[in-house]
Amino acid sequence: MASTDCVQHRSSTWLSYFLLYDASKVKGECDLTRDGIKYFHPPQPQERGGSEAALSNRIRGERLEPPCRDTRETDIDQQELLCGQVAGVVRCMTEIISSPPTLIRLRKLKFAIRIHGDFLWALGCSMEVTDISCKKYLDDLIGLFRFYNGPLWRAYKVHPHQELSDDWRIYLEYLQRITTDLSRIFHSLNHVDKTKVDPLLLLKATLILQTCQRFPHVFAGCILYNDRVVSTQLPPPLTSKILVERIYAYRRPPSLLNNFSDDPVLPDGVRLLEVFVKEQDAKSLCQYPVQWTTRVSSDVSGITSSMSPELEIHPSQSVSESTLEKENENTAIPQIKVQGNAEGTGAPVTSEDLDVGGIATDMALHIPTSGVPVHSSSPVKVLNRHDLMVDQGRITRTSPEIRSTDIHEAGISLPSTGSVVACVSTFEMDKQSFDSESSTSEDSQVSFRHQPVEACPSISTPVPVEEHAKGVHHSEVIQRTENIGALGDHTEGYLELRSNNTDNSVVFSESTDLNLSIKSSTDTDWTLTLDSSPPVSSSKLVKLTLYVHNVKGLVLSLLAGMHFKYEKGLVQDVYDGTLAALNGLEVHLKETMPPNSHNSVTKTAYSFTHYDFIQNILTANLPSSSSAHDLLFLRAASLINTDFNLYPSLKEITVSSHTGTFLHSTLQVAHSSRSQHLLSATTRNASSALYACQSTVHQTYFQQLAPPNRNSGYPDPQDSAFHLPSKAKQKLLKHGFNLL
Amino acid sequence: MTAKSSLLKVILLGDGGVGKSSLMNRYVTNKFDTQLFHTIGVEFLNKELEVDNHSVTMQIWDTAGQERFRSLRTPFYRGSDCCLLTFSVDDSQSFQNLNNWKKEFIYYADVKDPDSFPFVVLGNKIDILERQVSEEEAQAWCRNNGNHPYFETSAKDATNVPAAFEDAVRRVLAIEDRTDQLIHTDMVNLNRKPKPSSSCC
Repeated sequence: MASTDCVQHRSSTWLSYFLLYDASKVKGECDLTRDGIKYFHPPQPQERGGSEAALSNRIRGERLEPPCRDTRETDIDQQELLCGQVAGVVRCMTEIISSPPTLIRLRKLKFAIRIHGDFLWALGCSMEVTDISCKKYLDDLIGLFRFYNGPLWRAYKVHPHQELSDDWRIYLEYLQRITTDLSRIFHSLNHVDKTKVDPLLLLKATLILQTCQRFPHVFAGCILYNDRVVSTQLPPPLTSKILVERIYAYRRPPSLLNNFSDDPVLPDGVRLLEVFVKEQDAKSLCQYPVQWTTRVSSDVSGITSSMSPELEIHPSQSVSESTLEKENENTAIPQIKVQGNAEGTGAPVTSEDLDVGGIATDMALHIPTSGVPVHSSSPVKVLNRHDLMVDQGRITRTSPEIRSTDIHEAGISLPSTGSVVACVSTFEMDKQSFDSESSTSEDSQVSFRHQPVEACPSISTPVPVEEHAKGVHHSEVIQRTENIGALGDHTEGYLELRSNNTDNSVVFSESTDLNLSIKSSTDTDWTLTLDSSPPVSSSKLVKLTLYVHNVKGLVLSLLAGMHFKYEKGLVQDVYDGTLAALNGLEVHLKETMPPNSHNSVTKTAYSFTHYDFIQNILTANLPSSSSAHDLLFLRAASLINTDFNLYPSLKEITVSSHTGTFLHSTLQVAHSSRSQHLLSATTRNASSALYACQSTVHQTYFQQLAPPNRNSGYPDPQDSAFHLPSKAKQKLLKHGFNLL
Repeated sequence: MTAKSSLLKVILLGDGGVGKSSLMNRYVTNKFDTQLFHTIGVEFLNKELEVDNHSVTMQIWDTAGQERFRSLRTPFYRGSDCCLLTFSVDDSQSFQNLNNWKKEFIYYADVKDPDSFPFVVLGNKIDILERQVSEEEAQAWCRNNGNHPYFETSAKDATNVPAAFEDAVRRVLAIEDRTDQLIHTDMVNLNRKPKPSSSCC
């Protein structure tokens, strides 16, 4: 671990490295590491002329000078070094703690790690990227690959490697293209500006989608205009994958594109692709198409409502089949904690508690028993809430209304420092270790996490229940959905088992993504967890047909069954049934939103960012080219966002700065008094301040750019920082956001 | 006129529910959908056809009939070459509103010479037996309001639909022929003058 601590990178780019490594190719002493490198970004010099920083590694004490310092290329030797090191660290960790790390943090770089059989992915991001985002992006990339190329092992058998490398490159470029500073924080999808579009047009888009659902085999779809979502019936993870479709289609030669659709007479502008959707997604698409429709009465409600079908589906599923498999589609309620009864404060939980607003959430069930820790391989069905019985435990549901306040009531002490070492409570430790900002002293720390699959060989159980018991005083099972937000479509449900009793074998499980994911957009990824063996993982992907019809930038995408393309005339019917409306919608949208009118952000005396979890819409008045002030704003927003996610009970934060840098310590101060719901920590001598507030449906950040600053040096109600909240509320009303 | 393909914009106007979308779909795709949603704003389809040796791309614009969609549809009236005023023979109100539709079109399309603009009147849904508007009534209205041609159609039964659209095209072409000639005579004069002057230099 310590040997790779000097990987330099250019700070101008947040994404430094991406690699896919096949360990099965490198077994013996004489095997070359390069044989195992399936894909490496930045590529070799001869593959691509690049522009930027190179790699400089100090490995095993010897310093390697990059051959060409200012190109985004990686010499094969350095590729080998990095791959070898990463693989080595992962292997080492796995042997020590019997589970691979999911994140390796170096001094200037962090690597998100994913393992699937012999395959290893690593995504190297700069330190500005939060751990959560780093891992999320890796999952996004893997999710994109799986969506268009199918399971990895199959893809590398079926397709030429060069082609797949091109695909990886496309996904990487896409990921870098779509992620703005803000979207990195919130993981939102790009929507059309709904304040500018006539709601009737959104309704029209929705009606087009509903019309399509009347055709056989068509499940659901979405409508995009210039890569922005106009209306979608799909959950954000799927929608985000379709967003990439245009690039994908553009890059690939047509012959390869439609290699499965031998139908030569596709209507103009229409293409059919085969895509791979997780079984559960597909099932929910198939089973309740009409319900999806009725729920998604307009795009505004689309995203949330489209999550719900899961709920109806799950209870009907058999235990053996889906068990805890749950897609947490709801952004607001992603996490359920089941705590051991040591806390003793909770009331018994009935199944109703888990069923809030008709929205399924990830659930975990922890049943404290006495005995040796047992990793149950038998799936526990929690899907049917009425069956849920947790004896001697309590379930704290962090619902929107009561999010995590219960935890505090339960008496878990929370640390006031960011250092992991300082953490006393396991609950906190769990979270703190992922707070990249705060754990400065732990920079080189490798977070070890237990992947449930490891513990739980039953592959059909995506969210295995670990029964863990012996002497655990407060054991918490925290099941989380790893949210991949805007891009990923993996849902990884975990069961997290924690204990602060050091005598016990502490099982760490993966939990990092708790936060951003919760709010961000909702994804879930159970496949990766399932992927421990290729055949199984592949069976979890369902092949579907993606119908794509592009009308001058207005793209109708429909997910349909594989029979869709075989049924005679069906494609033509869908085309005929939608063309007129798409033509019309396109001219309407072109009239209201000229394609190049995005960047007309009028600069005001304040910056704000408002993220709506429910609609997955981000509103901000920051121009795309960030000024120094905007960067400061982003930095502060990023920090606070992390904190908000860690401490959902925080409602408001005001941070101040006099050095031009927002001090994270301010936030830490805030945490220490987090028993309050309303919290406002203000440092003195501040020259600029940022106000942030959150609720279950939004996070809002506000900063006055030219504040009439008044600072008395002591807590004075006249100080400008104290007026910031009311100022924010007043200003944001003008943008249609009511924070009152 | 050579055989070059020209784009003609034909717009369907009329009360909500008289069958404008169905007429368009029947003509272009030869399909009939009983469960169409209300049209919101405007929609259009292109249809290539040949009329009297003219190959023409007819762009048929279908509009929302409901009053509440007025602001969405009216910007798209401009540039229309022909207006198809549509009513339903089982709905006398839709027939009476033809006047309003004509006025709205003339106003928003900014028609310079309303008397010579080609309107075509379509009485749709003749498959329905309980008529509220007789053919004679409709004919009389057309005579009195500028001598517009009148077609009785049924999008459901595919009755008379192509005839109506093709007639619209013919009228547009006829008018274009006339204006082409007018323009030609003008153009000749204008073009000749600068030519000698430019060659002089």
